Amino acid sequence: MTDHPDLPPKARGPLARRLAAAAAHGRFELPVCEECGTVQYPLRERCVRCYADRLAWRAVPPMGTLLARTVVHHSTDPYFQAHRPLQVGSVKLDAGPVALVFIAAGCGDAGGRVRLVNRLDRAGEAVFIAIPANGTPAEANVMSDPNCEIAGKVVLITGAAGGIGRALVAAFREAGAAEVIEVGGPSAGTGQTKVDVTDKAAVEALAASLAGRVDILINNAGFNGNSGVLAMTEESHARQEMEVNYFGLLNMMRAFSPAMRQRGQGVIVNLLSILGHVNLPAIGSYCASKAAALSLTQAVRAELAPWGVRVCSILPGAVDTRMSAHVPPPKLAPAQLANAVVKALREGLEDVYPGAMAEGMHAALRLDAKALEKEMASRLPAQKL
Amino acid sequence: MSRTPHDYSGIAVTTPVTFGYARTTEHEVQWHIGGVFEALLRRTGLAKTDIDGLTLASYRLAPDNTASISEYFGLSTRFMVDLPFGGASGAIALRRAARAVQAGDAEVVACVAADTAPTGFGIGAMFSRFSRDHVYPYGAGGPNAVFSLITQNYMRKNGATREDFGRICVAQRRNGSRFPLAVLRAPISMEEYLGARPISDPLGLLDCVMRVNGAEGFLVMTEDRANALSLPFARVAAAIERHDGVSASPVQEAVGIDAARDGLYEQAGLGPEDLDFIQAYDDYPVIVLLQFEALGICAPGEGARFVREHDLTVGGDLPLNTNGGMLAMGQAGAAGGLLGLTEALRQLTGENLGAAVAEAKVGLVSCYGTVNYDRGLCSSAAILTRGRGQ
Repeated sequence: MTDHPDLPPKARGPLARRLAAAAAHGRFELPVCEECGTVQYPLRERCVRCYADRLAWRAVPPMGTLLARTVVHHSTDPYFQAHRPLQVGSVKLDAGPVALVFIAAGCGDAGGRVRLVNRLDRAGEAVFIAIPANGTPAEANVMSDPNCEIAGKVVLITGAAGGIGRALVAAFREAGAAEVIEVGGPSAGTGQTKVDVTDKAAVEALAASLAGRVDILINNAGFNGNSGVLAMTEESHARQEMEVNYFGLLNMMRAFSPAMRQRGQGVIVNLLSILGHVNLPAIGSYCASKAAALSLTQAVRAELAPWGVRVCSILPGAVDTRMSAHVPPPKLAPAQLANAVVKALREGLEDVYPGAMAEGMHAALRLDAKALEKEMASRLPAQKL
Repeated sequence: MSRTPHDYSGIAVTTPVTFGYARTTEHEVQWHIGGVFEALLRRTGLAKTDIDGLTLASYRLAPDNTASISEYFGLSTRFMVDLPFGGASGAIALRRAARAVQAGDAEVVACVAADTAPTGFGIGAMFSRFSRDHVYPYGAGGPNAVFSLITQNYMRKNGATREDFGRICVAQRRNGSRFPLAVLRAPISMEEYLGARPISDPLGLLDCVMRVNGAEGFLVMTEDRANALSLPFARVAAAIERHDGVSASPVQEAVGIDAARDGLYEQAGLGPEDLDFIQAYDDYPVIVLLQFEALGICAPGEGARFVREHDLTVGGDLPLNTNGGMLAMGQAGAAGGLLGLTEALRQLTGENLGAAVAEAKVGLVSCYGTVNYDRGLCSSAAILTRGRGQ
């Protein structure tokens, strides 16, 4: 057995990290010169036209014209050599630049219209893939990344008894999973395996029997004490949040990762929260536990990336479940959230902000994280001494 | 109103050296560079202290560079240029050296290029930022993939066929079969060309140059010095270069020197009809056609028709790459940039190693190279004329 699975070339320069960041979110973005409006590609530190250094990453139209295409039968890279023949071409973007791209099925001949998708490859780096002009991003799976397929896969979902859990089970069955293993906590129902994710021994026992065949692990189990940090009457709620949302997640990832690593493929999906990025003080300790879980996710993602195992973060706002019954609308329906998870798998996304609330808060975070903190603080109801 | 460039009068280009061509080597590139130095001194009778200028092109110097090479060879110069232009190095080296000699900055400039063949995986991954970030990750097909796109576009726009490109390859391999230093000496048939293993559609194995080890070199000095040394030499009738000259078209459809063509012939006082042979950079046959079009050998888009109507072998009406070019010699990295120039010198001075073009008095050398993203960035050309014969 080799130490690492066969992965696409990883080496990129610092500018290309921004491309990978955009791909992680499923965005087609390029640097645009704020002086002259020129869209930049290949990536440069300064505008190729006017040399200004004020380049802003913005969404640009992903449409273009296929200039020429070839089939690469011989590559100097071992991964590509193993995956040839490869469909490669050049595309003139309507936005201006010419990009070398992979070409997905159905794109037709030179001269035809195509749409570009910026997508993470197996190494977690960005590549442009041309798909038919009216295609969908899921079609941009040119080298059949096994981590982007659900059909025929074995899925394990924790927290399966809850509102989001039930929706996830339904969505993955619908998406063609060969088997959906439902793991519930104390409230596990019939047909569900009852395992408390905070019980390390129980989690290890579960992994001992299942880890060898689980392709997609969805860590959905969660607990919310629904209280401010100082307002809390039971400090044990804060501990329980950390036990489930942080240590439970840690237990699951540590127990199931080795088998995935050994197989050189697998996906771990962590149901986090946009509130892991910024604290909503009314449920302050819950947010802190999600911040810990988010940070943990980043660490495990980096550790697993060289082994071909993908770690995906789902960061919704409020979801319409019993756990957040007291939260005023708008709330994301569990089925919508579950569909977003399925889409994230198929499109190889890394960070997903499903729903208007998460999307809006994520945009606000990119703009000014401190301002969003102030906004969240302002939502704390007036309190009496 | 642009100024008219100075001419290259008084300059002699001498002592073509082609050295060390082989598929494998146990040596580092310094061995090849030193082989050229040794031949230059042996054939001219010069002492190493007489060489006071150096231009060097090589991709395989690291961790060394052109400066450290001077200490490696104990070569003290007062003029030194590193040429990172790959296949375009030939006429560029000539221009740099000629100007230095004309200005009196150097008396005798050695122009050298050498490379050893890279092996294994990952070739080209770190050639440049653009290559690393935007080319290699797309299948790592290397130049084959880039030029397959340029070839496909040319075929689509101009109605060229694989047979048209095959005519170039078959003719050059025929020329190479008569050149004793060629690594691939067997001629090929059109059937073999068309049936070759596909590499990157529409390019097959026989469109692509083989990576080899090898080195090239020549000397630039004054005519007076060359005469004093009784060296055969050629004169520089004109020379041009252009970098990033074709960024406007979405796919490369010209090589870059196109706009400077009129100036080239004007400076030479000659026209395309005066050429007795052409040595053109032949990393891929489509680039030969683009150079023909750039240099007025035929009209834009007419390259395929031109090769259908002309015999490109030595003895034909327009001999192309009389040593077989890189299609027969193989591509020794940056040395491929000087390969045509040294062969042109041999044809013009009568120091031929292979088949001679009868009565060769005027030759065109066209150079092209440095694929950074989706096209070659650098192009150069020189018209050389017979000076002092052997």
